[in-house]
Amino acid sequence: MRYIFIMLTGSFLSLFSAAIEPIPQKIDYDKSKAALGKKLFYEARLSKDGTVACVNCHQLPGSGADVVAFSFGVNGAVGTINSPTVLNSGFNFVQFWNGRAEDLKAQAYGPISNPIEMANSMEAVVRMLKDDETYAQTFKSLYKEGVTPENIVDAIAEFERALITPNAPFDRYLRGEKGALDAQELKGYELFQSFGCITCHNGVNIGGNMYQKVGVFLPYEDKTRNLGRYDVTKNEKDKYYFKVPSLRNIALTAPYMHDAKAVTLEDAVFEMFEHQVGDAYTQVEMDAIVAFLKTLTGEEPAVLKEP
Amino acid sequence: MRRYYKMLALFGVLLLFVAASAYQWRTSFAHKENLVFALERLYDVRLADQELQLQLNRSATTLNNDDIVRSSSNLHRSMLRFTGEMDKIASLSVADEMAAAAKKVHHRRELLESYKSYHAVMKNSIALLNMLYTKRLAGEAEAEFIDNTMMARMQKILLGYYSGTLQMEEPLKIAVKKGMKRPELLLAHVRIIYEYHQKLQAVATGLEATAIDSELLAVAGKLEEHIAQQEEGVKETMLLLFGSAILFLIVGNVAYYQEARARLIADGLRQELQQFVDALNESAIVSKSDPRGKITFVNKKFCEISGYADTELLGQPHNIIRHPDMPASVFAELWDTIQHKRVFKATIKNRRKDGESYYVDSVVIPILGLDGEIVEYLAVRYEVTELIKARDEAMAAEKAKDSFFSNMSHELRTPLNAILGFSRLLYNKSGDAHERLQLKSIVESSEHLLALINDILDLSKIQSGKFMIDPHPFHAQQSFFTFVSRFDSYVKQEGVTFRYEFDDSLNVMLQGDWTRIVQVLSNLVSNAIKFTPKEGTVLLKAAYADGMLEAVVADTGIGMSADVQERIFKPFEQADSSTTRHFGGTGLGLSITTQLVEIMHGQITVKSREGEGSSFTVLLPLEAAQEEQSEAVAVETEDFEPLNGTVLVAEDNKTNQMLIGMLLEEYGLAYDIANDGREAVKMFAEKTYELVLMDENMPNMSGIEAMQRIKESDTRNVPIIALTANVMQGDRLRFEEAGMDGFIGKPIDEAKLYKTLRSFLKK
Repeated sequence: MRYIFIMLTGSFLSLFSAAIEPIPQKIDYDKSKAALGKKLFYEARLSKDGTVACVNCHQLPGSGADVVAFSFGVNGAVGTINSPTVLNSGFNFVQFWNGRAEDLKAQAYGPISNPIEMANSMEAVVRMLKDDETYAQTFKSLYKEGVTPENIVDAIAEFERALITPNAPFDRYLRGEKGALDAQELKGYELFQSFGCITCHNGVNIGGNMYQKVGVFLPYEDKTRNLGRYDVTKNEKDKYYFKVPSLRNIALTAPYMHDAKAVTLEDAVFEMFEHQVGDAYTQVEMDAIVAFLKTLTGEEPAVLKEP
Repeated sequence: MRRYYKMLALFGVLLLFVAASAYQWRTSFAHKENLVFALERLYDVRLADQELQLQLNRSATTLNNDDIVRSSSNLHRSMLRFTGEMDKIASLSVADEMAAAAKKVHHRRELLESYKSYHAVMKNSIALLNMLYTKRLAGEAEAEFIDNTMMARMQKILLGYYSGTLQMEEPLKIAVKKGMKRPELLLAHVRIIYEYHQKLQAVATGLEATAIDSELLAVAGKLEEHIAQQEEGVKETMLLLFGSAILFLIVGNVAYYQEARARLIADGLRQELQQFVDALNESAIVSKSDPRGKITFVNKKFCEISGYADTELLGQPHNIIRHPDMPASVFAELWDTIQHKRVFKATIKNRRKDGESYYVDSVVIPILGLDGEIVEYLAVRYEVTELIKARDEAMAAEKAKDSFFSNMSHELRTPLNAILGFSRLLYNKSGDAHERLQLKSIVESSEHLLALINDILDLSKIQSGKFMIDPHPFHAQQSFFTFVSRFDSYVKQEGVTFRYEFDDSLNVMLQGDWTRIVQVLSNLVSNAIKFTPKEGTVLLKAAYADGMLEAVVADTGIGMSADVQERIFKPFEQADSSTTRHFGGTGLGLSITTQLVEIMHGQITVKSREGEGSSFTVLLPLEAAQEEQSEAVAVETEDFEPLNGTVLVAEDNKTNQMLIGMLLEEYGLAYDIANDGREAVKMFAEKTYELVLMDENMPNMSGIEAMQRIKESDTRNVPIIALTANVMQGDRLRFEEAGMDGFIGKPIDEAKLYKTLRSFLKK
């Protein structure tokens, strides 16, 4: 097998058409478990002092992320990285910026025991839930083993999986609704492709399916000490490689970048041009791209409307 | 029984075999299933790997990484599943291959991430080059900064990229700086293209190196090999299982048929046996007991006859029905016999529950087990109470008959004695011819009556088996001559010729009961004379040869027909009933004669033709006597001489007192009469007697007792002669044993009385 597989024929651009797929309008999930997960998601008692719930940093209804650069944990502890949105997180190929959790369940363990987040222990959480008659009964009715760490994260993950935002204007466009995007937004989509943004931000989540080095073109000045994937693999070549974030609902999830350096969407696009794309652009082009990005905001997840 | 155990053991072994085969088959099968499943998982991995390859190939033409992500995680998951399956198969040593494959997969996924990242950067730069190149070709102002050299370079890069023949150029040393303009940016991207081309080539090499197909194929090979082995094993065990099942069936069938056959035979035997048992139970009293004698079984008959219920009998010893009359020795013998495994037979008196007795003919059989030891005893009994009773009654009847005859003969003889005695005296004294003729007729009639009584007595004795032969030595020829002399007067009277031929072989002493022989011969001769008309001839021939005395009595008389010849030896038979009327006689003579001959182990035959006379032949086995005793036969003498002495006659019957008195006076003897035993004893003590004639049946004291009293005090040894009508067999012996010196029967034979008296008084 050789590098030959990248041999291409035909037009380069014409091939990009299937690079982004719309979010499915609904996915199958266990509603009872999701309901339990939802309750847990809002449960502050998961944290050590009973002040921090998942929803504190992943605001729902809303962006699924935090408006602040770094979220606050128990006792006012401050995080070291910008909270990624929980919306559509089920489509991500790994979780966390550095991909240290391979799926949502694995991710859910993290914040509970993270000293600057909930600062709790899974044992304590299990105890707390077992002592709560309602929780204990609900768990018993859904899981043979009742309250266990595995079942807790399973319920939360089931809820999070359901947090999809379908029917964004762009998705409607992709589904054939030509009027869903205006000229500028369409121009923005074209530029998104021709500038090469799409080489990293593709797939159903428009990102979230690969790692990429922040500062491929121009080295990125990190305000935090995060080294990305390297923190997981301790592999020199993985330094500054972060999970490419999803651009879904990007208009809602400011601030941007793992270190929250970009406050506005334009800031973020600028950072991308500077460090990743490595090309010059005009204001018109910038405006078009920003306009395009704003068409990526979808509907509020159905699961949130459920009781 | 042993056969059953053997069969059972065989079945057990076979069953074990089948079970073991089945278990092995199941294990092999399960193992094989695991292997097959693992192999399927392995193919899943290969499929995922190939799919990933496909997605990688496609990634050149698409910018969507989702498919690669999906394929990659597919590969990961299928690898995990496969590893999980392989972990279950401990027997397969593919850990190295598996570890290598897992490591490669892990590495491959890492490389994949790099590939995605590098490829994205590469495409980004190519996209920029492509855009600027296109714009320069279109003559757009913003691309005018690109000179021809740069255009050629860009063209080369783009063509190389798209054709897959991108060549490495001199490394460019362009640092990326903030705020760079397009010409510099372009150069930077060219540099990036070369840089990432290099990186991608390294990744491609890495991806190539992490191909896990070889490992998968190696494992697959081993798996397939293993599966083949297991299949072989499964086949073998299947075959084994099948074989054992067939064997099981065959053995089972054979056993079944053998069993069925044996059962059929056994059923037949059992049925037959049951019929025997039923028959036995119907007829016999059956019981069984254990070796210690406790009753374990009784049949209905046993209960019926013993009067006990079976529940009362079971567990009890047989002596529950033992009659106290039975001596203990019988049961000792019984136990001794059956414990020695022999069959015991006896007639036993038992006692019913109600105390009544009954008799059984018992057979007790020891039943032996296969080991030859006694398992139980079987007793089969037949009730014979009726038979025993009948026998006892018959014996009593016989005794009564004997007693009757004895009494009758006594009662008949006593008056006859008087009749005969006085008739003879009167006949001898009478001078009147007419009176003498009448007296003679009385004497003859009385004698005939006496003969008849004697015959009846003889026959009775013979028939009851009480007739005894009393052999003495005798001289045959002399005895025969004496015998024929008695017939002189009779022959004259009848007017027949009586001839006799006595062979010289008769000149021997023979051992035999001559008295009985005389009885036989005189009967035959008397008959011959009787049935021979006047002028006829009667011939007596005798000879002795080879221990056999042969006597032939032939006559020229009326003879007999063949069927008469058959009957004449039976009692009360004569040639015909008219014979008795014509010739007289009791009709018992020949019958007695025949039976006497038989008692002496002889033979009597008759040859006769009607009207031509008869010939009787008597054959008697007689041994020659050891020594000559000629004296014994020299007794016979007719000479009369007067006797001297006083005789005491003990006799209660007045008639007999007179008769005996007259006879004694005739012999010249003095006498006293005692009326009973007591008087006799008294009189003997008071006076001296030379002889005592003692009647047996007397009032107050019997003859025997009186005799014994006399003998107690007597010092002179005065002979005491029994004088009695008790002439039945054994009487004489009884008197002799009691101590009597002689014996004279009644009616008194004058001659015998004289002889006896003379023999005692001469001494």
